[in-house]
Amino acid sequence: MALTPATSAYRKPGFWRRLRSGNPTEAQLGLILLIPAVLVLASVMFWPIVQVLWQSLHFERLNVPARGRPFIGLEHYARMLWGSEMRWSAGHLLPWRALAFAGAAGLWWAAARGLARWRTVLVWTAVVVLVAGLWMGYHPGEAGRWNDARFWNAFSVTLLITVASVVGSFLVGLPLALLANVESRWRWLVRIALLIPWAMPRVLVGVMFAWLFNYTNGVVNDLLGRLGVAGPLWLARAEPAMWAANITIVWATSAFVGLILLAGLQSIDGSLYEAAMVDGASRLQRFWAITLPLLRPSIAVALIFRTLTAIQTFDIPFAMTQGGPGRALETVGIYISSTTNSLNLGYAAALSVALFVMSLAITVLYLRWIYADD
Amino acid sequence: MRRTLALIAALALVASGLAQTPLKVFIGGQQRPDVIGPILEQFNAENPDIVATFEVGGATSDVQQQYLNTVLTSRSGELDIFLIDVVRPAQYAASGWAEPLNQFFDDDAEMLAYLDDFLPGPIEANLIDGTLFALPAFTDAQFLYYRADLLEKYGFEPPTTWDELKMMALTIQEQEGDPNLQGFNYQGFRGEGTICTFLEVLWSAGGNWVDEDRNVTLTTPEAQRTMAWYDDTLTSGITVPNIAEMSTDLSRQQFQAGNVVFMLNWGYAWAHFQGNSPQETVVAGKVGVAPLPSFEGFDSATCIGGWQWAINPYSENKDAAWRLLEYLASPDTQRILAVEASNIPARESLYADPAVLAAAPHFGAFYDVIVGARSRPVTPFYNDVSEAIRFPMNAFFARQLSADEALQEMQRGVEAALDF
Repeated sequence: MALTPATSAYRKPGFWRRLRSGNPTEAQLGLILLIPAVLVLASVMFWPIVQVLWQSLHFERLNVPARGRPFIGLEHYARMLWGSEMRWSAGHLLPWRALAFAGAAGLWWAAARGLARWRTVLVWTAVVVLVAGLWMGYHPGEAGRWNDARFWNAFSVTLLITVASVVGSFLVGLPLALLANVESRWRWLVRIALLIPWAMPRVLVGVMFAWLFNYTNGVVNDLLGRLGVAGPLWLARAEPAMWAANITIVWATSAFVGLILLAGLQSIDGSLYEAAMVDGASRLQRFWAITLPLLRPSIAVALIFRTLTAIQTFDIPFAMTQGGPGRALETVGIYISSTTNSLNLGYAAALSVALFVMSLAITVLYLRWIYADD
Repeated sequence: MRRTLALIAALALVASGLAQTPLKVFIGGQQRPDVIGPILEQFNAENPDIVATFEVGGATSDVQQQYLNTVLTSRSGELDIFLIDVVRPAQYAASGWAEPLNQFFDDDAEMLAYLDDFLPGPIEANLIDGTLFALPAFTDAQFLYYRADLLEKYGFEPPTTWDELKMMALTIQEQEGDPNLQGFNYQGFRGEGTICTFLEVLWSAGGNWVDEDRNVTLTTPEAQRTMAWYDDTLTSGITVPNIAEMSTDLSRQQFQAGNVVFMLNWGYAWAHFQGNSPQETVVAGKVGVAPLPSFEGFDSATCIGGWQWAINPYSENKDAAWRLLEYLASPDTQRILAVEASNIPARESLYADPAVLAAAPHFGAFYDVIVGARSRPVTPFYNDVSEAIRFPMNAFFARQLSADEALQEMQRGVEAALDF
């Protein structure tokens, strides 16, 4: 009888075996410890998102229970963006269509000649198609009958408020942060002033500023009157209402930008300024060459958070005018709330998804900008 | 031994608790929890087998409705009875959100006899195709408030036509010489009040938002006349140019500060003017109430308001809930609500009630207006219809849409809302 070795070659134990042995690897242990957190996050964040997506593909109106909850695919999105009655006519937006076609053709021509990479060309073609599609949606032709004109209005109001209030709160927030960073006896006062607008509930801010901007009894027009200027009908006309809402939002949110930038300012090493001073750099030069570049991560964080909240703007315009006058301040957020109150849950879900996509697109753009140099 | 006794006592307590049927009533912050509380305590004392408690929600119709949307969408039976705005029963009926009340009567004849004492307006809202979905808690309407002192000073009687109103307002504004004095104030903001602003004048021109066959009729000559009148209030200067930001309560405050001659507003404003208000009042004792004016040759009309008690169809104690509902809609409860909360009774008999008239003498003056009050569109799609009317109206007041554009927008929007 020949002796055979009693032991076979060593085999690394499998994942489950190792786990069962009661001696998990570090990676396994990490995974096990992560499970509860992942479950919680999945149930409170991921699952609702999936559910809203699923709901947006269904007809669901609580005041039409007889129709039930049938699956209707992308019908809500089609109605939102291009409308079920969208008909193409030869002349509709012809120059723009020609331009988009020419752009796409140019890209493909360049790719075929080897002047550009196919991957880049595909991405840019997608962008051109997307922009052209949105442009069609925004100009639906005949009296807005082709699509949900209310959505496109809400979309542009939201974009306008986002751009204006983010830029505004940055332009106001940065000087506030610089002021709060100055060594002085009164610094605590500036810092408290920075905190107060941020700590105030937004709805309260909205109601308060609606009073300040009131045409007959408001403080703003009273002050303007004393200066000999006739104040506009702030909340009773579309254009001034947009100004009033943005001024209010900037007042309420520049404090937040200021606080984040202040934290960034305090982390800048003072010796850099000393060295620059020794080299004879002026105040302005120091600001441009040291403060601003080193502040960039803080600026990015402040802008991301500010932009995301701006896209979802609901509270201040709603508290000021309920989205009026007309639909001048009706943001996507207000439109979603109004649709939900009409018990059209399916369409409201589709609108929410649209808002989600807008937020996601902006976040991706910012993230690319932050990591551009890395 | 003592321990056993205590245990038995505790068990007995639990058992008695189980024998009692719990009921939960939902009301809003604006509906005077301080008055509803004692009413429920009285009911509990009279009905030892039921324990009724209440929950207070938001303070506006919209906010209360949003909460009920959540509760009812999840088919929760935690609330047994709730108060809903007069514009909602049609939607509740369509959604199956209110228990039909016919089952609690022997037959329809008995039900109609029971409803006889109620005012016709609220019943019209609650009785849908012969099925009763709610009982009126109290009612409301828009009134024409006027400065009795100013009208007397210039020898005017309350106006009966819109032209008279304009003439009086212009005269008083001119003679008083006060640049802050507004001739005519109404609601032009983007909220619920503005649909009444539109409908009341439309009705008083002989029009309506739909015809008998429920075709939308918002581009008719009557509708154009309505818009022309509102255009006239702005161009003639009897109304302030910022009417597009005028909410219901802002109107009330401006009148209360003595800045308005004529105003359209709801019943709640009266108590404020008499001094029961967080703001100072300079018009106490100088306020008159009249039916709304109309166009020459047509009847005056006003919007009905008010709140209704309904039973949650998901409730597990519907029989007990019906007993409480009957109690809440009874003349005794409506008398308490009228005397202590100034809620306008929905029962005809209370307008001759000495206790009510002693506490609220103006209800006598309200009566003629209230019996003539008409319903806003009765449809399951009320929110959409309301939005389709008040948005163009508000845009018209903000001078974004011309009168014709606004009417076309309304016609299109209401048609779309009804055609789903």
